[in-house]
Amino acid sequence: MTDGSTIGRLPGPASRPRLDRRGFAAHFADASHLLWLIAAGIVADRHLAEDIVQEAAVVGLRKLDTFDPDTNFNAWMGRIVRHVAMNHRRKRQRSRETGLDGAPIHAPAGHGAEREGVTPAGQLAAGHEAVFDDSVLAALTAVPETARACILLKTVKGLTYDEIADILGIPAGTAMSHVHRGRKIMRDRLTPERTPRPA
Amino acid sequence: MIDAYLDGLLDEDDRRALERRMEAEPALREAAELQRRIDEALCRSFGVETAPRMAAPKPKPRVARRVWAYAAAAAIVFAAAVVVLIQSLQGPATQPWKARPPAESFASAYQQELDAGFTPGWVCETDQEFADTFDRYLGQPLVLTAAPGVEALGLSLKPVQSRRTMAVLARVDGEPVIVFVVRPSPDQAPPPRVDEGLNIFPIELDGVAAYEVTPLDQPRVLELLKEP
Repeated sequence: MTDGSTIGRLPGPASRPRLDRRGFAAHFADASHLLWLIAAGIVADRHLAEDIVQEAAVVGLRKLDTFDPDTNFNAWMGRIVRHVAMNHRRKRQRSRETGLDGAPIHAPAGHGAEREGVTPAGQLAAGHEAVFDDSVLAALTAVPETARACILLKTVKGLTYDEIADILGIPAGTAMSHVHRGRKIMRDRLTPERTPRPA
Repeated sequence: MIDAYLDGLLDEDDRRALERRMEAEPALREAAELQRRIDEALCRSFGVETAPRMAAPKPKPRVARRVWAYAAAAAIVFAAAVVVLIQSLQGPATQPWKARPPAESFASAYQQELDAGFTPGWVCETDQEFADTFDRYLGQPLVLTAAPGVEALGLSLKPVQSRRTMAVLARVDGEPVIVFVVRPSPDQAPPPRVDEGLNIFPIELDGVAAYEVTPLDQPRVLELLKEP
């Protein structure tokens, strides 16, 4: 005689054991570069990104029971990193926009990405990589945050749009659109004869 | 289309069609080339070799271990205090305890430039362009005034002391001279003045520090660097 509810509670033959701390550490080490890219893309700060990934690891460890070992660890942690990074970004935006006295403050003119400026590729000596790299980083700051993360995952990690979508929790078509639009923004900023274009 | 081409996502027919278009349309070809360079730059800046090494946080130690950790930390602090006391009694240390001696970096960067033919990364055509370049990379506009015997060659970005160290390449009476201009950080000790046949002369400008690395006995370029 069989009892459906009892069978339902039995582990299936293909299900994997729950992830323990040691297993988490191993998966985390493998995923750390990818997770760092997500954070760096969202907050546009490689050092803060490191802190965010560590903070996300603490969150991940705390929620280890909720991780289904039959699913993708990178996607699970990627979403946690994205969530933590977005929170940091929101906090930072709030602190920039509002001073202690509540009066709105703005970044000084010529500060940050604007101040960094972009050296058009055509003005650079061929092979002078450091200068070009700086210009590329400045251009990257002009790209919206999720698009930045998509671009880094696509370009640096070589992920497919389906993989990016899974990791960031967005549709694959949106990931593709982010990458295309973001790259276009960067090319426009790095093209020597930058001319205003109609919207 | 360019993205799909560079990502290798086009099928054979589309790839050939796009390549034919690129032959006919220089703007399209340049855009593809620019995108390729951008992708390479992103890989250089964010590749796995530049990423921080990260490990999952370790569980908190038990109380008994924590006591030992406190005791060990106290012992290290005590030992460090003794070392500092002894050093202060002996006079200034000959080697700063910072991991990277900056003077060696300047000297080796100077040598690297010599080995590479002493050719600048780029040349500024006007004072304004020169000032803008310093403003962009160091947050401080500077100009280089003219002087007899000093031939300014151009600028290079060198990762010495900081990633954004600007090197001004010049020839002074025919000798190769470099002025490294950096935004100083408080934990960096100033470099010594002499290093293996080279003289290193420091100067502080408004918000930046400049170091002239020269085989000559006197700095000749530093005094020419001024705010516009």
